[in-house]
Amino acid sequence: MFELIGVRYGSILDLPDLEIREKQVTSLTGPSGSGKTSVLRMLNKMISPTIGKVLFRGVDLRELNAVNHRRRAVMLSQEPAVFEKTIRDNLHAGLLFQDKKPPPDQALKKVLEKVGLEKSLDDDALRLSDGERQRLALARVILLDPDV
Amino acid sequence: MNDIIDLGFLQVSLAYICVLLVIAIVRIRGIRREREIVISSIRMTLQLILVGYILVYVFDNPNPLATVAIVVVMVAFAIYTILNRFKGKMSSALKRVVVFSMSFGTLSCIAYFLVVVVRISPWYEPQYVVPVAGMLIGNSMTGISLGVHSLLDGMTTRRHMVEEALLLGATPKAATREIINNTFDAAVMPTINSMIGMGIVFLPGMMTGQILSGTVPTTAIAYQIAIMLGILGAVALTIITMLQLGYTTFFNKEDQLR
Repeated sequence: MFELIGVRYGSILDLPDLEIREKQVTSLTGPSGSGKTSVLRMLNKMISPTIGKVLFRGVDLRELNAVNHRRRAVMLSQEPAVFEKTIRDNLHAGLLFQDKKPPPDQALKKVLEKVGLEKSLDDDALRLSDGERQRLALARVILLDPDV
Repeated sequence: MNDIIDLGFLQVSLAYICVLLVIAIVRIRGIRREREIVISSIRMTLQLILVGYILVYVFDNPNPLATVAIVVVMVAFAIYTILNRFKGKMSSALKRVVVFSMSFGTLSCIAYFLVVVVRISPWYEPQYVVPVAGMLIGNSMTGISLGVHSLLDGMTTRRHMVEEALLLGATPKAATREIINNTFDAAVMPTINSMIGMGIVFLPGMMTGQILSGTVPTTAIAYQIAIMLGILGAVALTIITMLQLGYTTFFNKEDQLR
C-alpha cells in the first residue's frame, strides 16, 4: 500500500526502501528521535521527504492533494489534541472537518463503548486523562471510517 | 456662537505641565520610561507643527497629486509603524499581506466614504480627504497591529490544535477557523467598544474639533456618526483581508504547517 523509496528527511532520517502492505501489521522500531513519527507523518503527507518519494497504492504522494489523502489515510498522533467543549463536540469535529454529517448520539455512544471510554457525551473533554484522550481520539478516527 | 479662543505659545506651553507630571510619576515609581515620554512628546509636537504648515499650504492650493501623495505617505507610514513596532518574528509573506490589506482596506473605504457618503467635489478636496484618511488609516493601523499579534499568538499557542485538525482531514482554512474568528473579534472589539461609550463617556476627537472650531453640534454629530461607521468598516475590511490571506502564509503548497 505504501512504498518509501530512497527517503530522507532533513538530517534525521535515512531509511532503507520500505514497503508497507495492506492488512498487515508493520512495526517500526528505533531509539527515540530516530524518526519513527516522521515516517508516519510522511505517510499522511503532514511532511514531505527532502529526498526520495513515498508511494500510496503506486501513486507518488506529491501528485495527490494533501487534504484528500489525509481523509483517506488518517493518522492518530501519540499525544492527540483534544478540542475545547464536550466529548460530543470532539467526536463531531473530525466529521465536520471533512464536511460529513455527524451521526445521532446513539452511534457516537456505540463508538465510545467500542474504545472503552465510559463517559457521557456531554462531559468536558478537557477533563479527560491522557489515556482517555487517546481513546477519544481513536473514537474520533473510527467515526471518520478512513481507508487506512 | 462665540469666537474661537486662539491658543498662544504660552497657553500651549502650559499644557506641557502634563508631561512633567507623567515624568514625575514614572521617576518616583522607578519606571524607566522618561526617555520615551520626552521623545514622544517632542516628536508629537514637531510632527504636528510641520503637518500644520503643510496643511495650510495644501488647503490653500488644492491639487490632486498632492492629496494622493499625502494619503500614500499616511498609508506607508502606518504600514512602516505596524511592521517596525511588532516585537516578534513575522514572515516576509505575512509582511506582504499586511502591506496589501492595509492599502486595500483603507484606500477602498476612504474612496467610498468621500465619494459616496460625503460626496465631496472635487474628489481631491484636501480639507476632507486628509482628516478622513487620517482617521480611517489610524484606526485600521491599531486594528491590524492587534490582529497580527493575535494571529501569531494563536498560531503558536494553538499549533497542536491546528495540526490535529489537519490530521483529521481539515483544510488549512477549516483548521484555522477558530483562530481567525478569535483574532477578528480581538481586533475589532476596541472599535465596537469605543462606539458604545461614544457621546456618553467621551466626545470623540473629530466632533470635539468641529465643535471647537464653531460647527453646529448637530452637523458635527452627523459627521461623527458617519466617520465612526466608516472607521468600523475600514477596520473590519482591513483585518478580514489580512486574516483571509494571512493564514495561508503559515502553510506551504502541500497544505503542511510551516
